[in-house]
Amino acid sequence: MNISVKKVVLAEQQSQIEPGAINKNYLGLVNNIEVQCTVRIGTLNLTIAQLRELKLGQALHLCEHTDEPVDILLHNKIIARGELMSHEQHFAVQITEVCC
Amino acid sequence: MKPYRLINTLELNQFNTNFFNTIDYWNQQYSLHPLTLNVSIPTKEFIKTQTWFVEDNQGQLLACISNDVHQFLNYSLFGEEDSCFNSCSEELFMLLLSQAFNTDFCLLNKINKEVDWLYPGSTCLLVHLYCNASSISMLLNPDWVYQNLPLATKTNPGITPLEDGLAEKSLILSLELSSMSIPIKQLMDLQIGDVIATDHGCSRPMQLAHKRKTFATAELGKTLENKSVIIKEFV
Repeated sequence: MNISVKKVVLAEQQSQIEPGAINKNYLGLVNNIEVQCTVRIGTLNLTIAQLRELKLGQALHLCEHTDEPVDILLHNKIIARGELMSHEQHFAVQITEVCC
Repeated sequence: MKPYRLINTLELNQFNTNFFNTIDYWNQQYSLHPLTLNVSIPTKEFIKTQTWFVEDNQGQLLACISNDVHQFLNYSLFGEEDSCFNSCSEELFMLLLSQAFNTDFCLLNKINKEVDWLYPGSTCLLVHLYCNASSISMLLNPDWVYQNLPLATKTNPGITPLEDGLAEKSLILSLELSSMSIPIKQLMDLQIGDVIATDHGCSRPMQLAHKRKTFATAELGKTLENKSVIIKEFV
């Protein structure tokens, strides 16, 4: 059986921006993807000289007070804050602040 | 790579003195009309007129000399410019140069080549040898000059170890729980009051990190009003 075929010729294209943008719910397209988040309890400043002198068992003060929230980081950006809790022998964070 | 090294007056005088002492001894041994000399920083035009090259026993070029060298030497050594003295003059001159360049053996070669010895920062030196009204010029290879510069007498301050140079550099460290995977949907729906459960056991030390690189584990606690940690292990 003979099948006749033709080459596909692609048309030349250029952007012609018109009003209208992607649906605001575009993140719904990727909502099954899992991303790596980090819970940051606090921070501390050390010079390299102090870092060099660190010893096992040494106590270091963090910059944050005990009543300050912890940060939830996504790609080094704070996307939420919360209070550090425990849940079934594991740490958990109860959200106190999210981006509106 | 070529050395960039400015030669100061003291160093120039040192070369002048060394060459003078060598020539003075040579004059006493061989010269009918003694040679005098002057060592200076050359200017560009001298390079064009050099045709005789002085090599050491390993073929390294030490200097190049203007083309009237034999006549000049014949007059200094024998009081005549006749070419019949060329061979003997050259031999005696090589004795002088081997002492001046502090090498076992020197050879004079006529080579048709250009040398790239004069460039900004070159250590090339020009030696003018005089005998009565005549003179010859000799360009010294900058590599040889560089290797024979007087040793530095000034003691420089000690070099600081890199660690000490970095000592005052400040770092911001983070105390973190183990990172966790969360679906984007859960983050999109996150609301105040929600709880994110982690896999990080309460009894496990937390991670002390700099820019996501953990260097120690530490146990969370408090000191007065602040959170604090005790270092448990270095990673």
